[in-house]
Amino acid sequence: MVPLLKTLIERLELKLSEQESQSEALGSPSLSRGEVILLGQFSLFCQPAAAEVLPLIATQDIDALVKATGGFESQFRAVVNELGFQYDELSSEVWIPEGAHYNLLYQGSRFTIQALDPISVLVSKAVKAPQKNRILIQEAIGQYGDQLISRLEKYSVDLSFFSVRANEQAEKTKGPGHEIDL
Amino acid sequence: MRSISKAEQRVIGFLVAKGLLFAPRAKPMPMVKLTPKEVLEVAENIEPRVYEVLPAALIHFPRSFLSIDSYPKDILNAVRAVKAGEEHHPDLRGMRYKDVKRWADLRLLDRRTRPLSEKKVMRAYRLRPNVLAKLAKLAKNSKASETETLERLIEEALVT
Repeated sequence: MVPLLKTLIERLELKLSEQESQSEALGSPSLSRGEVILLGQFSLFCQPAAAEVLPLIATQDIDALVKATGGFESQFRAVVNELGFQYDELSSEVWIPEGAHYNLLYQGSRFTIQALDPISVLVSKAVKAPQKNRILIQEAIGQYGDQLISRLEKYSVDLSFFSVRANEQAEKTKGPGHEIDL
Repeated sequence: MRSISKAEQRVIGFLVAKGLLFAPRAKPMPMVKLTPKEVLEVAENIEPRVYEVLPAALIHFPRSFLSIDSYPKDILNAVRAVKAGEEHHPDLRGMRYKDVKRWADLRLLDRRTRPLSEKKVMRAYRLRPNVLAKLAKLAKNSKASETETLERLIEEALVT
């Protein structure tokens, strides 16, 4: 398990356990339970199969679908903030392509964490935000090949956008005007 | 995986050190001074998300960026719009303006940088002496500064 996810789980378990102890002491047992489905870049970070082969850089937000009872969501958000991230309020608007599946990352008695499979994350990014993700998708096509290309073609993604950009960059870096003086 | 250039190390390392980007493989580099050339090179060819956080970085850490005036006009316009708190502005090179704006309003890792919405803005007003005396009295009674008292009165007036 990646260290960041491990820390998130440990802190969340601790917070929920403290919440349970406090409410038991007050005579009103609390049952905070939740299901988290990680989406977007953060889900790629949490899946070693993707994190080890893709050059991942992200902004400090977490896209996730959260189903919760009894204060779980506020505890989840608090832990996310403690780790220096922000929970993206618009996570439910993330588009999930057909054929997506979810990988179970953690199953505890209080909550589970799943992640959208890496190929579906990449398809979603290529369809909805190609410019922002063009270099990631270029690298991903190199890594996943037909497995990713066939899913992208299903949504009529213009593959030349990614390959043309790659060629442009290769040309640019050849020119002396683009050398970096360091 | 591709090799990492020195420019990428410096630009991504700086943004990671300041809590604007997350990249476990990058070494945080909080003390660098970045040239427009290397910043734009990395944003254009390595990681477009640099454009998303660049206005926030230029606003909060101007001393870490050399020759800010020589950045392209669309970037400087986005910086001006974010500083002015504009709600609507064109997207910046594929990055939604609302995302560009929110990073300037984030509480950053260094804990010294204030979110833009909490930064105080200087204004000069001419008030009658008797109003000033009342303001001083109100402030003293509530054990707050005159500025805090004015802010509270304005907030309360908007709620009621």
